Amino acid sequence: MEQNEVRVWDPFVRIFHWSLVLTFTVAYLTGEELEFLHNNTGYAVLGLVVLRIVWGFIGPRYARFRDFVYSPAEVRGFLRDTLGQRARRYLGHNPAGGAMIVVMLLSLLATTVTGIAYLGIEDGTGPLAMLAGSPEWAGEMLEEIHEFFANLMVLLVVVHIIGVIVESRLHHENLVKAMFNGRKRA
Amino acid sequence: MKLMNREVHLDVKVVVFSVIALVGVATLLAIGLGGAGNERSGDNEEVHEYHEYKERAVVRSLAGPGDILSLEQILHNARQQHAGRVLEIELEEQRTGLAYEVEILGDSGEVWEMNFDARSGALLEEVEED
Repeated sequence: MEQNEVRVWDPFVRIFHWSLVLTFTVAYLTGEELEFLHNNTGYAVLGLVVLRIVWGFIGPRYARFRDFVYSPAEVRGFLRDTLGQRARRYLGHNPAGGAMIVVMLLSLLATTVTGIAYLGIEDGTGPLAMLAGSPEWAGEMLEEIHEFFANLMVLLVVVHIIGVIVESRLHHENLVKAMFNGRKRA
Repeated sequence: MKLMNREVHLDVKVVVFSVIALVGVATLLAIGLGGAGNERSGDNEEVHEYHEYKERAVVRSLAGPGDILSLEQILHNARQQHAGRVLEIELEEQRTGLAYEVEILGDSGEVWEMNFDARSGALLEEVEED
């Protein structure tokens, strides 16, 4: 570790981040086929999200929701400042990044839970197998919601990547590298 | 000293969470990839095993021959609706009772899914899949 660097992202946060990238990508790409792989990567996504939510309460400082959940007004202010190239630098997640995490976690929860419920209704398998025999419209509705949130996630990922690039440039740092080695300039 | 304890405690948590995440994801991915391989070669056997068991049990429990129509009879009915290749036939428990679900690939590439009442052979539903 260089002299002027500090550890910001703990190992779990980093493992979570990149595991989620991998599992979500596989799950998204296998949505229409390879049902077995799709289901298992979906379970992995849900498991990761649940762990991350718990971590948001018991993890180290920068991993906690308390550290990165800001009011909508603060998020708007930060985005305005970013447009004006004068946003201040945050060592942890900035307000927009924090809001993105919350929206993504909720969107992933919606995607996975509706997916599991759909599986229960259509195939009578999985943790929600007891839903089998529900009316057909319920399954169709779940499928629609499942796809909506999955596609919303793709949109969020694109916005997230744009945000990372913009903030990296603005503060002359490599935020992607920081998510790998966990370190940021102090 | 108190601070020291907290730091150590924290590290244990990080290790526990990281290991759970890594092992969990790796296991699910491995099982998923294995299953995906089977799906390709074994025609969804594993995914639908539960179905088959359930359906066999249902079929066996039926009183006797003549209670539900034979597969051949249903195939005959289905072919009268649409010419083409039969893709899949399932005997399902639906809300209205037992039904055969037949999928036929038509000559111009369209896929028809038809539901027949297993007892009367009547066409219950017919949809063109996309």
